[in-house]
Amino acid sequence: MRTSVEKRDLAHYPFLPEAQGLLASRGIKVAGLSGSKIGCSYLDRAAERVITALDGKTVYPESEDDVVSDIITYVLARVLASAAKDKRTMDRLCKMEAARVYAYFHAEENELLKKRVCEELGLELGDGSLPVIRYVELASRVRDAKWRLINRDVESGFVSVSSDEMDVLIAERIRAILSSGLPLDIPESIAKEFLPWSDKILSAVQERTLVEFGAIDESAYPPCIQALIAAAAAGVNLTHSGRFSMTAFLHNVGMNAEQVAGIFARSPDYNPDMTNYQVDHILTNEYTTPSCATMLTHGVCVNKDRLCESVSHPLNYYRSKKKMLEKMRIKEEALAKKAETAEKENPEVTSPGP
Amino acid sequence: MKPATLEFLRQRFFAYYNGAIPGAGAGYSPESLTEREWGFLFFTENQRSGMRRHISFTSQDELTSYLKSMVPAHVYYSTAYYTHPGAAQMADKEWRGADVIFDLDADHIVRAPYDIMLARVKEELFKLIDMLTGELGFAKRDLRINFSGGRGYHVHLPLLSIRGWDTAERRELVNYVSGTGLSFDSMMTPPQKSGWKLRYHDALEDELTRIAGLPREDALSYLSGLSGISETFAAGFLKNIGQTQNLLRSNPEKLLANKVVRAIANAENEPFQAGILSRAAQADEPVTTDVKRLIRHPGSLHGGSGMRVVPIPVDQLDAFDPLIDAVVFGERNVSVDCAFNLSMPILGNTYTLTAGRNIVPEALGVFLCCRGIAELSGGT
Ligand code: SF4
Repeated sequence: MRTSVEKRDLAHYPFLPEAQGLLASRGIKVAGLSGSKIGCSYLDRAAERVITALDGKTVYPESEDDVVSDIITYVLARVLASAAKDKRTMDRLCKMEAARVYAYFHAEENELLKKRVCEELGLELGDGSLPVIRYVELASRVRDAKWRLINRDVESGFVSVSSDEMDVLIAERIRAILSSGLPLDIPESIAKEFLPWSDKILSAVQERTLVEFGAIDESAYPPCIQALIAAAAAGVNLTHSGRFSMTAFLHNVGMNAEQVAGIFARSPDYNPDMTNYQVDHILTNEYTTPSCATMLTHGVCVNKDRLCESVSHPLNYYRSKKKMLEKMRIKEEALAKKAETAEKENPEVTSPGP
Repeated sequence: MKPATLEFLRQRFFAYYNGAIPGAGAGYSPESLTEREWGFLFFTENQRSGMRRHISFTSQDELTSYLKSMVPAHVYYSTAYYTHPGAAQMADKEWRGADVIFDLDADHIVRAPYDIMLARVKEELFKLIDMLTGELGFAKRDLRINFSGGRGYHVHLPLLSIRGWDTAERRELVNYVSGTGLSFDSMMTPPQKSGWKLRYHDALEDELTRIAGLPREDALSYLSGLSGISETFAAGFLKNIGQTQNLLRSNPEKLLANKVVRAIANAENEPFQAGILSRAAQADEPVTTDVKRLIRHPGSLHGGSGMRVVPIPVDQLDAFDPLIDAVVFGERNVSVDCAFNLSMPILGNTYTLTAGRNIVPEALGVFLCCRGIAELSGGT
């Protein structure tokens, strides 16, 4: 049985201060990472780590030997998820990380390490019972009647808990602790530096929720996209990022290459070859719409309206607006129907005045 | 309420807050007074004038002088602690935790004459204290018990270790004491020696004994009236009920598969539920789970009864009689107009009043006027 905390253990429990110490001893800092090739590869891997979580996977494949990379991607994944400001992404990430940590913890044979992890997570490994206050804090979020305090053996301030049950509570505790720190407070400069990666995550989120979009509804396009379409139709030469954003957006909401090209065809000086080439390039690379922050930087966020205040991605805008419009339509139809029947039954009420 | 009655009450409350009533005053102060939000209702003819709240005090003295000069009819403070308790918007207050509160109110427990209700609620209070200290492990010295001035008691747990709790955690405690959410499957496992398992076991045993003692016809119709139980099933169950009672004692797990026992113990089944409730402390769930509640200030007067909100040390609870110990006004005679005939014990005497004009001790006069049962009728 090993009784010391070794370097490779740190990859399993990257939240331990020892893990952060390892990064510090290598002189690795989060800020400025995108300036180096290795830094960019860490960021790429971190984004992948988040996307793995988005896909509902519970296991993130760790590297065989690169402990530093495993630790830094853990840290960066949390930074990127925070920078993306997407609640679901953070929840998913915590769920995956917690499951991962728990799996190692459960199988851990190194008693010293186990103790360290418990200390760090504020867990005490009981001897079959927990103080009531502790129990309530751990179990109140676990569903199922058998976890309710009233259904437990409670005596003199202690609740009996079997060792299997303790495992469930520990897993829950790990999840709660990992998520209690999120979102991290990200300085503006870092958010800006990591924008390409947080965008990548947001795009992944969007792609995974595309299924919800259903039929295309032009009236639900956000102001930025509407402006781009109008400009394209008027024959204004779009900037590269304008063309890119519009194409990616239209593709993301479900248009195929032909339909997208058709939008450009409304322009008076339409060049089919050029357009098809560009559209194909964007579509085959599966680019996704940039976030509002990126759109703003590139000067394509225009005519912001009220709904814009509550979204961070044009696709989010589209989704919300679409839902709103659908609701309104249903309401209007119902009203129209009502008016119709009212007219039939009681013509003088709705008939126009003299 | 007539203006003269209002004036009378205001004047008596003024006397109380300004120290003119022997042994009275509002010398009590909650933990971290400066982090609490305060709210007040006043004696006013406008029934709809609302609560004045979002008020904070920087010291006990400031609170005391507010009470002296404003003479509120009701005084509340927040169970919550805030960074900015006086902020006008809840969102700006910055919640920093809240005391855990249990509210036992006769309204939720029995309908009966006032003194009987109060006695009944006190039984609940003892059950609550037993569960909190015996089973849940809270120390007696950590319980702050107050007579509410109305129809019940408030128990505060101003403990640092649970202050930060959210609704979900608080619900675990209130559900525990009030017998909510019991699961048949969990309860039927041994050892049924303590806590809810023991109470559940006793309640079930009582219920089986009751059924066994019913005339056969009645027992049959009761059992076959349970959801999912046919008459043949009921008859079979009745025949073996002695054996079932034995199993409950020796091997309760064996009864997990017994459909009839399960149906009897169903949370919607009235007789068994009554047995559970009689063993529970029926605390009002929303009060405990609310992390931003206003609660009556101990030491203040309850404008709906004229009685004092009294903090009571646990060891003095037995002797506490609200109809003597929470009454602050005296025996001086006042004349009141009663809306109907009534009989009311207060300060150790029982007064039988008829509708119309009565001469009563001031303590009773204040009580009746506050309750809206009587108006001041002028002259003493
Ligand atoms: S805020 Fe976002 S959705 Fe709105 S106009 Fe700007 S980029 Fe488009």
